[in-house]
Amino acid sequence: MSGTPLAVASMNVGDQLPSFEVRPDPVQLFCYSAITWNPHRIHYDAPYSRDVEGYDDILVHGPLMGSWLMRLCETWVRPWGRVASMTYRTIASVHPGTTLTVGGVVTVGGDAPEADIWVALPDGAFATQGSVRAVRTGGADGAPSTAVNDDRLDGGQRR
Amino acid sequence: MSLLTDEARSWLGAEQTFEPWLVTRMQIAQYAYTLGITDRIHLDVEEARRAGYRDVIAPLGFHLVIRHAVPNLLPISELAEDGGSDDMTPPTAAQRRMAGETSTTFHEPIVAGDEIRLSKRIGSLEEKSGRSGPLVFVGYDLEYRREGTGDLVISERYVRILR
Repeated sequence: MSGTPLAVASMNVGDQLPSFEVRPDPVQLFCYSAITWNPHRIHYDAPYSRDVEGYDDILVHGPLMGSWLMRLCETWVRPWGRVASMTYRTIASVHPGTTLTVGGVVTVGGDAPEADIWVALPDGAFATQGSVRAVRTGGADGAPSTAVNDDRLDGGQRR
Repeated sequence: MSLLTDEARSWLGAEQTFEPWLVTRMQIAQYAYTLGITDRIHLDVEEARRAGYRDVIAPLGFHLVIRHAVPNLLPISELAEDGGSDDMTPPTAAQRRMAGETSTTFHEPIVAGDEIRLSKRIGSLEEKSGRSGPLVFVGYDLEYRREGTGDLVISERYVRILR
């Protein structure tokens, strides 16, 4: 796997990570609240979010944006290595129905590559921003069959 | 006005260790499908074993399930009006809490059948002045360890901002 064009191209400064688009909807937010056992009302109770908390609608979970970033990084490194560490923070709150781009760019190449990563709003502003450090292991912990193959524009959330 | 009272300050160094969390194939599948991940090593035991793992492996990020679920495992009558829980938040006059930066170091993958014990410690506590008034930054140091061997699987630091 380490000889594939993707593996080579992804190691150079300035190269893009394998970005994808998502458009979170209330069904995805429900599932994320359920699997993380998060009873916080701002993620499912729209009248409460508007009338009590003063938001326009329910909110996309900050950790869900972190989860997308980790999916991005895992897809990027799996052909040649593993993710060593990640840092991220949420900058803007996001409502469902917003089309988001999950992407990144390589900032350090070599055997310990690094990249800037983000979840971007339609106008290009960042909703979440961070960085990742990876380690090249020569593909030893990844089998050829392990690529994340769901590259649908909506991240598998089409309805 | 200061938010950080002496009582709140005494929370620096506070520690909490939770009961071990048994990671199941079902939870891994639920997490993967919620994120739109359909890679077979997260869903198919045979595929995962062919790739050299004991069982299906969790996608990167699965530890967030444990981190967020564990503090909310309370009788429903103990949850706040907004559905939240205290989750080791020092007592202040702050009205809102927001998520700050999270830094995560990945040591080993999480695999179905693992029992993961989360421990949490308040490693920093400081007040800063923001445009809207005082802000308190609470820094939590987290360790996710595999029961039995005690191996460190993930270490993490996250900051909660109170205002």
